[in-house]
Amino acid sequence: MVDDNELMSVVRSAFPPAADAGPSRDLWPRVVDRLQSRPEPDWIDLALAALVVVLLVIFPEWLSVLAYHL
Amino acid sequence: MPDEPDGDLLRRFVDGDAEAFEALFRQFGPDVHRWILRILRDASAADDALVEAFWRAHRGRARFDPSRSFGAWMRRIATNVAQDHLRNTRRRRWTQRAGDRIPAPSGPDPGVAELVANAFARLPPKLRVVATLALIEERPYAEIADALNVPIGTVKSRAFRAIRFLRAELARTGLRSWWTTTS
Repeated sequence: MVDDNELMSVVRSAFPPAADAGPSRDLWPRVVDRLQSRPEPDWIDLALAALVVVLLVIFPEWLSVLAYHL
Repeated sequence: MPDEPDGDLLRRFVDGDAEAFEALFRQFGPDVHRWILRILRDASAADDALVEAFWRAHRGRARFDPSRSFGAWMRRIATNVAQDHLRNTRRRRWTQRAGDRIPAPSGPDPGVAELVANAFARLPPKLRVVATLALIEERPYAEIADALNVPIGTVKSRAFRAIRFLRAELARTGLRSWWTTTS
């Protein structure tokens, strides 16, 4: 049976601690680009919205229920 | 983490001031990157995660309380981003991207290092984050708990489960034979 200390020793020797002085280049321009890009709509959100619209067309009386919960 | 910025800078950040946000990025970016790299161990992925973390911070700035620690808040966001990255790439191996990676596993035996890397790659992301920070980076449980925003007991429990998982994986993949021949 492998004891914990042996296991830790093998794990640490396999992965030396990460040494890092920070990003290799200036990433601020990428942050700015990310802020300015329009978020892509999530297909799940779109599918749910479409489902709600379809249900309201079929069952218009549900609109009051939906309005109550919003 | 660097010293906490003054309250005025943090309030301007919360109000959406771009210069304040850039000042915080310049001040905290290197430390956040270092923290992410500890978890992901891939410099290119850490760059991407840093950008994502500050984007999430900007998007969620209205929820930040300027009287609290910005560094701790940023580290929590960064840890979540890193965890999401691990979740998204779970099926890929750590050592897949040769160009940017941290020095490859260099254990007492390259075969053993590879077995350990494979076992780590199979850890569920929540356990992997804790295992990486606690077992490899040897960070205190309290620090990990704060970064994950969970109780210390949860961190200890995850570390215990990770060790149990690794032990079983390594035994299953044949490390036990290496153990017996080298000890």
